Amino acid sequence: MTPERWDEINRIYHCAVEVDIDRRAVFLKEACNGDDTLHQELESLLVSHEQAGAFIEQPVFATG
Amino acid sequence: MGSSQEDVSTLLIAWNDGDKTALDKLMPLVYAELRNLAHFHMRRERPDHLLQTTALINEAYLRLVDQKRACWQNRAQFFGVASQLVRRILVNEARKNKSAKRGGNNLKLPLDEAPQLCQERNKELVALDLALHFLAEVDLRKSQIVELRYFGGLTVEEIAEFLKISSATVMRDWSMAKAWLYRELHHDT
Repeated sequence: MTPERWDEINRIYHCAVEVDIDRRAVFLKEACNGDDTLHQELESLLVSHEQAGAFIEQPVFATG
Repeated sequence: MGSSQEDVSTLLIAWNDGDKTALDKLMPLVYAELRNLAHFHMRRERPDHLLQTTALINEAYLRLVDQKRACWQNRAQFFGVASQLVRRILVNEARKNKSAKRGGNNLKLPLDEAPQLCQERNKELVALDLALHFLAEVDLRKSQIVELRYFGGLTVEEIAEFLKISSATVMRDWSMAKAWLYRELHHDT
């Protein structure tokens, strides 16, 4: 992955999470402009974003 | 403790002033103290007692750093170094426990759910550590932020201070890193 590609994924991701969830698919289609790989990458990241919930939100505890 | 307190305070200040070699000298001192403290608490506490990482790092900080000379930035830096070390210590322990379970012990059946939960947690820790290595290759700062927050228990403001970026940037990076890591750990894509 090139740094430019990663920046692009970051940029679209941050815009997409600001968009209402029911309008996100339309937004994503426009933002990715026919680039299927980019679209897939962002779609899966956004699904994870919605599912992640409390994942790693609490700092790790060491059991003694 | 006197002389190593002197050392750690001096090294933190030197590092803050831009001396990169100070960090290499700092790491083993902090590592030793964290290990000692962790073992001390594990011997004394009941087996089911939870030892909080942030409390552990804070205790190491109070013991190792001369409070009269330290400033707020030094505290953030100390927590930054300690977070890396906590990650290393916990992941090493988790790996050891995983392989111990595969060894001669596997005839013993767990008496309750606790050992299984522990095994689950060990597996997750090792997987998270691996995913963080991959994330670091794509975006080092995002992996650092996760390390500082998850392993070190730092607040968003402390992370911003440590990495010299804004709190808003920390939160944006955190959001994306969390989604990325979650996908790595939960979907085999």
